[in-house]
Formats: sequence, structure tokens, C-alpha cells
Amino acid sequence: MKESSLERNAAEEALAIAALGMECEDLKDLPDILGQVGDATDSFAVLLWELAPGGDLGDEGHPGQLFVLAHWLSNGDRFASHTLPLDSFTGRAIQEKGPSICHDVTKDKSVYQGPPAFMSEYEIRSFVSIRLKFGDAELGALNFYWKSGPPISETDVRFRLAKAFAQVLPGIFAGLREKSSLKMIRRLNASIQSFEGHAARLQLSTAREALHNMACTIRDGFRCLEVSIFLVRADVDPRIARLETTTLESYIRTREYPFGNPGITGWVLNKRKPVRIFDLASFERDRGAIESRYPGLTGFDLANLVEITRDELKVGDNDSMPPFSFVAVPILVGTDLLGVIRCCTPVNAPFYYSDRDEKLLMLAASQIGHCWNNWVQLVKINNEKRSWELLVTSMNDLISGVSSPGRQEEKAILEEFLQVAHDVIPGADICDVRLYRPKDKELYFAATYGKAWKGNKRAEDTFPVSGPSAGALVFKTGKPRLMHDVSQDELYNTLFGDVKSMVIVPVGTGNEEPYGVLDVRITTDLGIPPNAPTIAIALGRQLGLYLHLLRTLEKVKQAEVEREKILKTQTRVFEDLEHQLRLPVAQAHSRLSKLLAQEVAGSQIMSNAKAIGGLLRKADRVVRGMGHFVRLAKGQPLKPIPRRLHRGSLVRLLIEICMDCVFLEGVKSRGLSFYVNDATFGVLDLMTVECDPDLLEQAAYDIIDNACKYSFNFERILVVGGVDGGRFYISVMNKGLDLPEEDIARVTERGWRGPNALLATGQGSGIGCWFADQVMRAHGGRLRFFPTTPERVTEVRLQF
Amino acid sequence: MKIVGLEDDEPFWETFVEELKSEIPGAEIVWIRTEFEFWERIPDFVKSPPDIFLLDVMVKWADASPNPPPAPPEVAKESYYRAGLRCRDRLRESESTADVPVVLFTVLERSDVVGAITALPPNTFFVDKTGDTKEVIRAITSLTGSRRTGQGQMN
Repeated sequence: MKESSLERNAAEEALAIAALGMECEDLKDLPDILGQVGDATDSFAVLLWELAPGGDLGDEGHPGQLFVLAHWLSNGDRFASHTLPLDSFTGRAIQEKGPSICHDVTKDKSVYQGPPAFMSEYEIRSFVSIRLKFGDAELGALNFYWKSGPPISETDVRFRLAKAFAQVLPGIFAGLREKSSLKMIRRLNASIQSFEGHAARLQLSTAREALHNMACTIRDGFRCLEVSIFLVRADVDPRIARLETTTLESYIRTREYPFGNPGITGWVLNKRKPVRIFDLASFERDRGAIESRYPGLTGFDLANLVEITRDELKVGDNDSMPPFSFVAVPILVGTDLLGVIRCCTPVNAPFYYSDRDEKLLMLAASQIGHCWNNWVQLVKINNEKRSWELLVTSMNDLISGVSSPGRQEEKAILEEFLQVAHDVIPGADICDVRLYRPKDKELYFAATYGKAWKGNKRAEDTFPVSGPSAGALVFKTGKPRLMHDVSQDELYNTLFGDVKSMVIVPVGTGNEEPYGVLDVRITTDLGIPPNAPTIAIALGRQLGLYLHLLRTLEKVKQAEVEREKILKTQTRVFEDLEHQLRLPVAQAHSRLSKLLAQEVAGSQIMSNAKAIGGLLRKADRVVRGMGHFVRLAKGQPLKPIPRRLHRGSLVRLLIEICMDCVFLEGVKSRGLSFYVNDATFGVLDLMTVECDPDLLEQAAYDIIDNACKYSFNFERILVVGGVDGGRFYISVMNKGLDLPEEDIARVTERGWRGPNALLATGQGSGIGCWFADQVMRAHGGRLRFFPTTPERVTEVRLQF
Repeated sequence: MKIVGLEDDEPFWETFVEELKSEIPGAEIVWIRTEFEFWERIPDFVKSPPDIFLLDVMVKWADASPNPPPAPPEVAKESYYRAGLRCRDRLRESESTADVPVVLFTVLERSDVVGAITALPPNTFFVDKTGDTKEVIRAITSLTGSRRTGQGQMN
């Protein structure tokens, strides 16, 4: 075959391989590509090497090595070695910058024979090493190995193919590495998005599960055994990074890294810089280079990691171990350090972490950092929101309890307030309420909360408000006091050694002198939580309102008791008066009747006696009316003693009432007259009507007396009987002041008097109609009013 | 002697007048039953002032009638409770009636009208109506016999 044809064929083959490489997605596919290359060149094995990169393996450090990036053996075996000395055949090929052909491996002393004894084990006869330059300017070599066939020469088609492949392979490798990196970042972002959209994202377990998924994604992308993420939780302790997840639990020796902790992971936390070490197993050998690159980094003891790794990678006892390559980067959000992520022990080629890998991990750490930071803020906001919700709910429950009939003692209510303070303010483990005792002008512990208070005699301490204590100052000024560090506050009165910070707020309504103070003592090192002062002030205000309500209720209760006492006394007095007055009035009446019986009609004595009789009857009615009023005011219903109503006695009673009105109400000068229509009461001969005569007299007098007051001068007042719907009634009709329809409903209200009536009648208590209505209702009837007619006639009925 | 009385309690007035006539025979006693009627007759009093006014403190404004006289604002506000005091104030608006002695009598307790009686002008006196009417009559005869120069109360 001509030279040019050979070259063209080789180029075409190389392009075909390149096209194949474009279709692959991951570095894991690189061995397959090498396989294609191997088949094309009829090789037994193809190995891709890279010179140790800068950094870890810098000029001053390691004497120089080559590391396998990918390998393919036609028999499917795994290449057991990971490194090659720089002074090997391949190393020289790289340094001499040209392809090198080893025609016979047994005869060329520069060929590395092991361990492991790859050449002899697989009876490699010849091989070619072609120098490469990777995209990031790192150097390497692509080696082809043959077991049989004629010796390789530069004119050999296999050699030409090998050279062609060597030209495209760096590009393929770079492309695959990019794709792998991109794939890892995409998967990481998908994990983060999935977590941020999770319904239960606020739960720590969900966050940890998401972190584990992210760690697994990085593990797959970095092809390593261990990925561990350590994070700082500011709400627990801002100075410790704790293990939140790992992909290999057996690698974990320390679960917490307090800041300042020695060791590689601790160094990353302290310095906030990444660390990348080629092989932890060679730490001592490479110490110089490591210390110059990472000043202050102390040694590392592999301990049992070797055994663990052998088991995990299933590496035989006689096989060489891959390097314990290690990279750790800080997780930063802005300048805030949130933790560290580390990767260790690659399981596949390439068995080291490049500078590029370190940058990729920094990017991943940044993504994880932002996700974690957002979660922490969200949890913090949610916790605050829950605290406020809990506070409001607790307050509602407490206030409901205060106003309910079976409310608890004051001390129990205060203790419930303190429980709420403990529940909603993180770290508020020791709380109390101190109330003011005016008699002694001091504050005393009215209620306490927290284990520290149990059996503590300090609960009997008191604090004069004139004294130099923080509580006294808050009480006097009404202003809260925040003590972020009690040991630095001169006014802090040491009661408990565990207290680190404290909030004291007034207990009051804000409108007057406080009732006392609320003490919230925090025992954690985290200081006063941001929302604690606001919550404490709200609690103090609510507590103040409760105490105000409680004391007001007590005053009202006492006032009610006093009022009851006064009312009782008053009614007793009325009853006494009634008793004291009725008897003399009755006696006077009796003697008067005797006198009237003896005297001559028409005489002056008779005239005066009749007047006295009328006055006595009025006095008797007023006294009896007072008695009934008092009983009704006490809530005791009227108890009629019913007797059959006879026509004759009823008419006589009504006439007597009218005559009393004539005399007593001044109707003579006004020209008023009365007419009691006897005939209309004939119905009583035909039907039985029962009523209490005393009560009826009272009611009838009130109605007829009203008729006198409201009648126009020189009019007649008519009193008749009747039946309406089978029910007997006594009707009083007069021509006088209007009673409009709209006032009818109010007429029987106790004490109500219409404005026009007030001007026309003068004195009166406004209880006449009310009482008459009560009397009729006690008889199963009622007082009925009919609106004034156009003729100015008003009718009032005592309806039975 | 001419006595003008403002009183809406007819029985009380009848009894009182009987005693007054027996103590002051020949006295001309004018009876007015409502505050409105008193105001209507003030011009008569101005023209021919009496020797003494007897004014009940609580008196109704007017009798019930088809067209009752409208009550002035102070009457509508205070109602009948201070009618006598209002009438006394009207008397002081005229020179001829301002110096005529006035006896205010009422069933109200002294404490109920303390504001009014502490401000009484020199010729106005407060008397408890529920007490012995002879005391009232003695006061009237004393006042009309020799005029007092200082304010005071008479019981």
C-alpha cells in the first residue's frame, strides 16, 4: 500500500474513533474507545498515561510518575498497576517528545518490569509509546502492546494507526471529561431542585436525604469511594462542622470538627482553602511538598483505611492499591463558612484529582452551600413563624381560660405563661414572674419555671424597687433590658450559674405602673435569639392585661357583693317601713270609720273625716304598692289570692276609687267628673271571675288616677265592664292627651313617662301602668291600651 | 294683704288656705295651679305686686288640653322639677316684683336643692312643705309684717 494511502486510511480510522468518542457521554466509556483503538491496531492492550500534574506532584515533590488514565486489555483483565516511574520507557518517550518503539521488551532495559510484572505476566513482546499533549497542557502517552506478530516498525500500518489515534485521543479525553463534569453538575442541580420542591423539605431528615443524594452524585462524578459532607448548624453550635452525610461510613473516624481541630479536614475549615493530596499513603514521603503548599497541615495516619479499601475495591492482597487521592474544599456562601466536602480514593482511572477536579468540586460545594444556607434560613423563618403561631394560640387559650367560670388560680395561669415562654423562645430554660408588693415596695417571685427552680430557696428572695437590680430598673422605667452576656452586666444578680443571657421585660398594660417583671433566662451559648425580645415583650403585655382583667373582675365581683348587700338592706328597710306604716294606717282607718258612723252627715267634722279617710286610703295604697314593688324588684312574682269577683263589691270599689281621685287629685278645680256604669258589670252575675281584691284595687286606682291626670279639663272619665273573647275586663276611658300607637309598647315599661304627660301631670314615678300590667299578668291577663281616637278618647282595659 | 300662691296639689292648698285665712283674716289669696298660668299673669303682678309669693318648687307646666302651650327649652329640659325656681327668676326681671318676698316650699330634701338655695337672693326663703304649716304661716306673717334683709332658711 502506498504511503499516502496508508496515511489516509489511518486518518480515516482516527476520525471514525473521534466520531465514536463524540457519541460517548462519560469517562467510563474511555476504555471502550481504547478497545476500538486496540482492535484497529490489533493490540493486546492499550494504556493511556499522564504525567503527574503540577501542584501535588510538583517539581520539588515527587520524583515523577506517570498515572494511568484509562486502560484496555483484550482479554478483559483489569490493569493492576496505577503508576509508572518517569524514568521508564514511556517516561522517556514523553520527555523525548516523540513516539518510541520498543521492539523487544525483554531486551530493552528501560522497560519497567514491575511490580506488577505486566510485561512478563502477559508475555508482551513489543509496544509503542506515543507522546501526547492534553488540552490543559499536561503531558502523557498512549501505549500499544502486542504479544505476537512481526516487530513493529515505523512503516507498520499498526504504528501509523497508533499515531493517528494518539492525535485524536487527547481531544476525546477532554471532551469526555467535560461531559462527565457537566453531567455531574446537572445531576447535582436536579437533586437540589428536587429537594427545594419537596413537600417535607423543612424536616432535617429530608434535608439529610437530599444531601446524601448530592454526595452520591459527586461520588459517581468523581469516581471515588468516599464523599463526605460536614456542615455547620448555627442554631446548634456555630463553631463545629458535623458530619451530615457520607458515602462510606467505614472511612469516618471523626464526626465533628470543631474549628481549630488539626488534621486535613480541620485545616480546610480553619484556612477556608482547598486541599488536594496525591496519595495519603505517601504523606510522609511527600511531606515537604505538602507542607510547603499547605503550611500547618499535619500528618495523616491511614490506619485501617487500606484494609477497608481493599475490601471495597476487591483488590487482591498481592495487587497494588490505587493511590488514596484526596481532595477537600470549603463550602462557602459569600464569606460565610458553612462546612467542608471531601472526596477520597478514586475507584477507576484516572486515579488522581487534577486541578480541574478541584475547581469542579468547588463549584459543587458552592451549589450545595447555597442550597443548605437557603434551607437553614427557611427552617429558621418557619421556626420563628411557628413560635409566633404557638404564642398566639397559647395566648388565646390562656385568655379563654381566664374568663371561663372554672378558671384557675392566678399562680397556675402565671406558670402557663412561663411554659409558653419556654416553648417559643429557644433556650429559655429558667423563667419567672416577679410581681410588685406595694406594702413592702418590693418585687417577689410569684411564679417560676424550670428545673433549676425546684426546691430552690432563692424563690423566697425579694428585690426592693429602690435597689440596684436589673428587675427593679425595668419595673421603674417600664423599659425592657437585654443582657447578652450576664457576666458582663453589673446589674445582674446571680441566681443561677447556667444562665448565659437574659431578657427582662415589664409585666403591664403599658398605660399605668407595671404589675411586675417577666424574667427569661437563656442557658445556651447562642445568645438571645433574634425574636426573643419581641416575644417576651408581647408575653409581658398579655400577662399585664390578664392581671388587669383579673383584678378588675375581682373589683366588679366585690362591687356586686356590696350592691347585693345594699339592695338587701334597702328592701329590708322598705319592708320594715311597710310594716310600720300599714298598722297605724289601718288603725287610723278603723277609728275614722267609727267616727263617721257617729257623726252627723254634712257637718264640718264629717267633711274633714271624709278627707282624712281619703288620705288614709291613699297612704294605705301607697304603702301596699311599695310592698308589691319591693317584692317584684327582688324577683318575687306577685301571688294573687283569688276570690270571686262580685258585681256589687266591684262597683263600690270603683266608685270609692273615683271619689278618692276627686278629692285627692284636685279634679274639682279642673271640672272633671266620673261615671261608673253599673249596668255593664252585670256580666259578673253570669260568669265567674276570680281575682285578688287588694291587687285589683291597686291596679284600678293606678289606671283611674292616670285618667285623671291626662284628661282635659271639664271632661268625664268613664268606667265600664265588658267581655271580650270570653274574658272579663274593666275599661277606663277618658278624653285627654294622646297616646300614640308607637308609645303603647313603652307605657308598661317601669319608670317610663311620655314627655307630654310629664309636663301635664307633674309628680309621679312612672310605675303605675307597669304595676297594673304586672297585676293583670299575675291573673293570667294583661293591661291593654287602645290608641287615642280622632275624638281624643283613650281606652285602657284591665283585661282578665 | 295679698298673697299669690303657686301650687298644683289641690288638697294641700285647700287645707293650707283654711289655716292661712284663719291666721290672716281678710287676706286676699290668689291661687295659681300651673307654671304656664303663673307666667301669663306676671304682667298683672308687675302692675300690682302682691305682698308675698308662695311658690311650690315642683309644679306642672300646664293642664292637659287639646292645644297645650308649648314648653320653653328650659322647661322641656328640666320638666316640672324646678318650676318654682324658674318663676322666682322671672319675678326678679321686673323692678316692681324683684323685691317682693318669695317663700319657696317643697317636699324635696334640702340636699336636693342645695345649689338653688345657696344662691337665693336676700328676699327669698326656703321652707320644708312636709313640716308643720303653722311654721310657714308664721314666716309669712313675719315677712309681710317686717321685711328681712338677709337670705336664710325657715323651718
